[in-house]
Amino acid sequence: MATTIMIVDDSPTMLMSIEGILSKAGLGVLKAASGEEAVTTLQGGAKPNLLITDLNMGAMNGIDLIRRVRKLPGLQFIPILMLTTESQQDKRNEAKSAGATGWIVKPVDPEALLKVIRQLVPGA
Amino acid sequence: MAWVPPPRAIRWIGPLCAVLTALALAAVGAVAFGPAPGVAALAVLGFAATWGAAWASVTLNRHAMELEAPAPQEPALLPADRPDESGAQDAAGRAEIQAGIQAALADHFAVYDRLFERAANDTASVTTETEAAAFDIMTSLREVDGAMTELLAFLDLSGSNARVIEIVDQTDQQLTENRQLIGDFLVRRDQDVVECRQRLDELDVATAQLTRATEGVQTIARQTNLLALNATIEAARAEKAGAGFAVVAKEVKELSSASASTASRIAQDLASLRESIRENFSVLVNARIEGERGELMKIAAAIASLTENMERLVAHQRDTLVKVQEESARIAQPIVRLIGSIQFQDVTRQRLQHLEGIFGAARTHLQALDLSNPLTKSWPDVKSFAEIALSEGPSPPRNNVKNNNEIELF
Repeated sequence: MATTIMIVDDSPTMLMSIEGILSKAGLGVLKAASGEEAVTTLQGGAKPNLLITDLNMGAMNGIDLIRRVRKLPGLQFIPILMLTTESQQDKRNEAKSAGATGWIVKPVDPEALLKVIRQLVPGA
Repeated sequence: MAWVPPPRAIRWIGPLCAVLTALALAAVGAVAFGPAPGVAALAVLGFAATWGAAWASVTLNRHAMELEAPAPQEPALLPADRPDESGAQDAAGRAEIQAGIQAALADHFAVYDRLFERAANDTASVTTETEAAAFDIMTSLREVDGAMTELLAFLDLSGSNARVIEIVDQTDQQLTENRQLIGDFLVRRDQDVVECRQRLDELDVATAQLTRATEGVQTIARQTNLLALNATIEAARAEKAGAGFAVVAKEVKELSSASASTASRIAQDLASLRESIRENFSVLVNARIEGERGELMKIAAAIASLTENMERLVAHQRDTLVKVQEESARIAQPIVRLIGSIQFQDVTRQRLQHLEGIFGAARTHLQALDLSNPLTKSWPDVKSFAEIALSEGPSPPRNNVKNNNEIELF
């Protein structure tokens, strides 16, 4: 079964960029343009192997999304990476408390991103 | 009219405007030129320009008022010593000056407000335009990447290289077989020539034997003629009794002459036949077959040349396909890096949005400043605005993603 990564970002350019990197590596991709759309997709039964989310989005930011995802059945332990332009330590701590697995500052090198994904999802 | 210092709260509005402008320009500089040089240069420039403008405005105003005021004729009196009329005039003058300063500051603030509004609009416009451009670039990159992927998949799936080599190998094999057929044909032709020569020799022997046989016939005819002559002589001796025998002897003589004549013609005909066969054989074998051999050798040479060209074509085709595969694989990596580099647009977008927030906060702060109210406690808290303006925004774009990864796993 192919590894599937969910990307959540309100920037269409970022969605295309990360999708391009992942699909070139043979990974399946689920895209959501907002936290709400991501939650709806996950509640609909989608089971990605890893989730990558932006921090600053519309009504539901990345940290709120992590809190929601952690409460969904079967997704308590899914690796979640925060991919953001922010680098403040207090926000990192907040994300970590919410249940984030890692913090990546944009822009990320494609090879480095794939390396982290393979580290978190064996067989990816 | 004497110059009266403005109230304390109004006095630091000039520096405040200078700080606001410096912050705004610093943020613009950070986005446009990078964090260090842009902030430093534009912040210093903005502060100096605005503070200088405020200082010049107040100083000129002060000089103008001093020039308008009459020179003091006597030492100034304390308010308690001045007449009531003079005190009322001073108060009215102070109020007028205060109103003038408030009006001037209101004009300045209105200009700053329009400046911040325009800056915010321009920043939003840059965000929108760069996002659209980045999306177009990304779409094009994905199309290029898709085409390259399809090309590689086609080359891999169809096994074009192997298929071409297979076809050419088959053709080469057919050409080799054709050359072999021509070679075999030429060998058979040579064998046919040898056989023809053998037959001709056998025919030569047979005609020679026949010629010798005709010579025997001629000998017999000569002997028969001699015998007929003897018989004629003996018939003459027998006179009447030999008359009939003489007739027979005559006939025998004529027969022997006819036999000799016929044998001679047969020998001549045999000689003519043998010569005719040799001439035809020479035409057939030495000319036509040799010509045929020459044409076939040309065909064989053409086939050999064709085979050689085919082999060169195959080598070229194989090299081309291998090159296409290698170059496609080589282009794939830069495309992925380009796709990754588009993230810079999102970083810039978020920094510009942060800047828009600062501009908006600055406008809100300026609009909340009530210059007509000298009670500064009613004014908005400058600290809250400073927190917004000085808050750490998104990280600055980096020039080299490869060497500046910031990844932390919790």
